[in-house]
Amino acid sequence: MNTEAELLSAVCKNKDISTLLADNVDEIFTSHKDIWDSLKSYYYKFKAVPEVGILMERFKDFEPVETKAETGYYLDKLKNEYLTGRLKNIIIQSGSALKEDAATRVLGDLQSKLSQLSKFTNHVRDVDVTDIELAEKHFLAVKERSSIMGGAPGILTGFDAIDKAYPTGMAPGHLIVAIGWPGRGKTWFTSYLACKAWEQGFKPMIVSLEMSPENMRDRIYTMMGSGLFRASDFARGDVDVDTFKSWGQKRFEKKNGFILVSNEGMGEVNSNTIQGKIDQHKPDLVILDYHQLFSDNKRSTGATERNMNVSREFKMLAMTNNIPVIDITAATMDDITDQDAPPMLSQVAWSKAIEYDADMAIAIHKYTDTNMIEVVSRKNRHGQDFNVFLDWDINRGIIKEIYENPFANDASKN
Amino acid sequence: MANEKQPYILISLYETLYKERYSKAPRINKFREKWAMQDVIDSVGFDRAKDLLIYYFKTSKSGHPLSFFFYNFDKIDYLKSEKEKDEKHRRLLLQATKELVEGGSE
Repeated sequence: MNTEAELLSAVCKNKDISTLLADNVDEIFTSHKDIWDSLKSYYYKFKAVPEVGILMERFKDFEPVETKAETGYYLDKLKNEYLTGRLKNIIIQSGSALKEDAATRVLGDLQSKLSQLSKFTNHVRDVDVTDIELAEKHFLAVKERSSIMGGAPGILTGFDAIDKAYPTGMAPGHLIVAIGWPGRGKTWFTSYLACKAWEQGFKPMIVSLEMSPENMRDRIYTMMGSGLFRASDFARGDVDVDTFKSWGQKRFEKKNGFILVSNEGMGEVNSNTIQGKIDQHKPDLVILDYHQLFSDNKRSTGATERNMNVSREFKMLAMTNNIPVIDITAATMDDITDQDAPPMLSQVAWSKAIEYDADMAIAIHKYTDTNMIEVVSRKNRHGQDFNVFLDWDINRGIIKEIYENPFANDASKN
Repeated sequence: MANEKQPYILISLYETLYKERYSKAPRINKFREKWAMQDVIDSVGFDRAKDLLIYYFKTSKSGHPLSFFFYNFDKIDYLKSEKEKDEKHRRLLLQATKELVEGGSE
């Protein structure tokens, strides 16, 4: 039985291509390399894993296999076969070389080839900067992904300022940290990013430990309605059911899912729980609201240690699932903070962990008694820093970007 | 060295700010607190001490006791300086972002 066919069949059945994308497996496909490439292209273009029948239509000689186990099982099996084959080859070639070449040179060559294989036996990836061919392959893959996804390898935010300053978009493996003082627009802003991702055809998943799923859904409807509905009407249940139904049918027809997860304030949620939800729903973007309410897998009791661990575990979630993760976090309140401007990175207790783990850190701040939300980058590993004001009618879901200081003449906000 | 009147001016300012915030007068002994306030002025200057006092009432410290200000004015001064630097930085970034978006460059 062909293990490559087994692995591809398992991916189509389990719909978890991220297991392979996260592991950089291009090299281990040989007989079915063209099918694997096609599967990837399909996924990048349609944000979904195709049914196995699609691959059979496209590749007449492809014979799918009935699979029962997880995709990871077949991946390990294929890796093992690949390693066995490569190892045998290397040993035979070295044996032959010993007849003609000096032992030291053969040993050096052997060590070099073996070290290349080690990338399949551990989870630490390495690249050789001088390996131009490998770099070229990577650039071509990124270019292909970008062209299929509308210009960026990741998910665009829908804000001109952010998309220009963060040209990769919210790319697979990125941890984006959204910082803000309590009640200053973090959840609204990140929910909006989820809506924008959904509009582009991606499947977002918001894990909220703060709000009920119904509450969060009202917010999403308000933003998607762009002025059609008011958040306050949803809160009162004051909605014309027919208008809402007809809008909903048009808006959601033949679209990806948009998942809201909540623990209703009960029970402990850690990254293992989130991994379970990722396995269940296979989202393209995960938003975790908010950091301080999650537990770490070690169940640390100290707040700073727990928060640092959670930060690291969220980064791992992004990396292993090959999806962007947005971590919403409240800045640390103390007696000498005033909370009247976007928090600085130093105003988060575990700011060092954010500096290490985050690809992007954004501070979000809604000014009291105004519609103005300031969004400023505090760290951007993939572009330049930015700052933008959003004139946001939260109740009606209408947003406008502003590049001038709206408080230039207001001393109380400067 | 602060002049004789300066500490009393700031203590009066504290009383005003306190009344605005809590709608009642604070219970303080001006003549005793004068010496601590003089130390604050000697450390950062009268104008900065006045700014810090005003800023102190924007912080989330419950009750805004004067003693807390005396013990923490250096930390408040540091944080306020950082915030002022950040304010300038954010205005520059706003300008740069405007150019990035409207100029179409990347």
